[in-house]
Amino acid sequence: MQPNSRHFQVNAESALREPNLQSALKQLESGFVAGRQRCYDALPEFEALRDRAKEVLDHTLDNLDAYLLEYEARVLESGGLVHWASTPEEAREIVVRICRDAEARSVIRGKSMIGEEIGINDALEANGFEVTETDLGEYILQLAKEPPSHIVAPAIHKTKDEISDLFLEHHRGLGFTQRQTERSALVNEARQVLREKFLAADVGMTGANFLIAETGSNVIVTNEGNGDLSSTLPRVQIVTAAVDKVVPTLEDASLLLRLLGRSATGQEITAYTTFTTGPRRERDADGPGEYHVVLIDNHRSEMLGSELRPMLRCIRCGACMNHCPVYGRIGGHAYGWVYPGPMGSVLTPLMVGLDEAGHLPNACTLNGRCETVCPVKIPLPRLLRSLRSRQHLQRQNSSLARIALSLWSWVALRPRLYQLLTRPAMALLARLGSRSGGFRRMPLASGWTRVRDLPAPQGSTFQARWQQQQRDRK
Amino acid sequence: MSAAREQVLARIRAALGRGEPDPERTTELRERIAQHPRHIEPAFGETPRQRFRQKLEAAEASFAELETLDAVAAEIERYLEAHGAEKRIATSGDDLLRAIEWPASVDAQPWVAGSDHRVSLTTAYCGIAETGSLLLVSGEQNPTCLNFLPDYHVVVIKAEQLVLRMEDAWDSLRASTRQMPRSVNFISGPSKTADVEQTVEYGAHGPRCLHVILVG
Repeated sequence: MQPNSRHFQVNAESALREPNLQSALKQLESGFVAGRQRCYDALPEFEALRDRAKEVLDHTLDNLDAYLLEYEARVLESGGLVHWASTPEEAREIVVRICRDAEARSVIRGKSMIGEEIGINDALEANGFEVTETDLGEYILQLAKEPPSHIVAPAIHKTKDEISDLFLEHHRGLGFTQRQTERSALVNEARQVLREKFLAADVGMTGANFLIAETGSNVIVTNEGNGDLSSTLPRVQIVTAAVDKVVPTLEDASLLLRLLGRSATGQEITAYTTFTTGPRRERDADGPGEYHVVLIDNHRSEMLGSELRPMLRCIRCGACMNHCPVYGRIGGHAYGWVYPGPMGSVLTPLMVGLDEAGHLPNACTLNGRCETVCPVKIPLPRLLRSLRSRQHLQRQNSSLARIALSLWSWVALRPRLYQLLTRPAMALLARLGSRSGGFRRMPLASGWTRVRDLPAPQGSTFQARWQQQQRDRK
Repeated sequence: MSAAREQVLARIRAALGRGEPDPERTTELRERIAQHPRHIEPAFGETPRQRFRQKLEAAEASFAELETLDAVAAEIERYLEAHGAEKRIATSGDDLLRAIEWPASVDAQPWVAGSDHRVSLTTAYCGIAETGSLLLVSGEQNPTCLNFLPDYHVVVIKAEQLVLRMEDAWDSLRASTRQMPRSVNFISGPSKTADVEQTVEYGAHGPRCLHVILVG
């Protein structure tokens, strides 16, 4: 997918004017957010689980090379193959080669964000393979030729009406000539169309929520059962997974599973949680004859060696975006690439470049709600701040912003001068704004005042009021 | 091994500020894997049986409790009639199911590749009380597709097969098999999706209905 993050501001403004998107986003609060809260309230151990999950993942990252090698050895023992890729290009080449070697025609996919990250569908189609997304949300988007707008609920921005039109347009040729308007009828129609695809597919591709070093298994978590059919019916299975998906043991995965569903959709457990290990065994009744894992780095080793390492703990639950006031207003597409919301604002600049995605770390109020709900305690606001300082150091912010920041920091490092300048300024602003309580317009701050008022200060600086309070106490 | 493999590992090691892990460290990590320490296991007040049923029913699975295996065939026939489903069943090859004596009105056959039955009948490796999950594992007698392809999935499980948590299932699997079975499926309700306007609909790709029969 071509990144479009440099147009974040334009994207965001048009998202604010899309009524369908706005009503879908309003439902987040009563759906995912309320669901997570119910789970949180029902589980006194929730905070302890978060702490332990963070510990386990930090331990794994500290020993990432060793655990990856253990995992690889177990996959090989179970009869599977492991392929390594530094870049999305390498990963695409590997997948295309496996499909070609298997003389495959059709590929079905279970939803996976790493698949989006490496742009696997376009690569497969360009090489003549028929690719079908089988997660209902992803399938809807494949028909609409749109990227996902949420990592858990990819088609959250689509209305039932739009889906009815899409299905009629694309399924008419398959004999579904009636425009369905009931949700259940739409789900049922997709079930029938995709069932044929499942039965005919040569290759099934899935991602992995976790990889288990102890057993060489990949874990997928779904409600629809599409990932499970993708892992079971075709004769070849390909798992694409990032190197940070590995955890040491089945118990470690169990710990994280207790947090994943609750944080993502407010489910204690999803309908299906599946551990798959290697190809079908000699005497197995069914299952694919080939099992491949493609382990992908794509800048994760870079993160590991930087202050952004905590981001590698991410288990892709989407809680950060569900709780983000910015995501909640503009939705996922405005972010311009695969990963939206707070986690996407950290990942996107690293994966597509800070010059392309420089707006994202700044599209944040630093309110901290994302960090509060993150099941693995990723300090997202701190990571976003750190990207902002990278931007400043790499001179990628606007020259006006740089001059203003330099000036401010020069003054702020001189407390007396700072107070000398701010006290009269605050007093002046307070007097000017006393009548209306705020400003409609302000030089250098039009970006703020164009869409909202700037509240007037109350007359004295925080420091002055603090000192006054201390004096009063005495 | 491939160049990419060496490059990825080298970059990870550089990022961690060290070379290959020393043998001592590797032994320690293998030790941690061998011991697979358990973590925090949330407490619950209900009995395992109550909990198992409650959680499955909350996920829209239906549930029947029978005292003996003899009653299973009648229960399944009743269930299929109540749902207007055809009485043609593909079963897994477990001994428990082979022992069922079917009335002439029900056509129950062990699954063969390519069968298109709309009803499947399987056992489970065990049941997990904490989450209300059935654990099904693949094998010679246990095709995984029976868990996902039919419209109705009926699972017979004996009360003694209930364990408290996922971790107990891991211990049991480790003790009974040398290697992880190819497919280990935790099933916690019928298939569902909320991809159309964030509203739950059942029967997305997997079974539309899950019926659990607890015996004993």
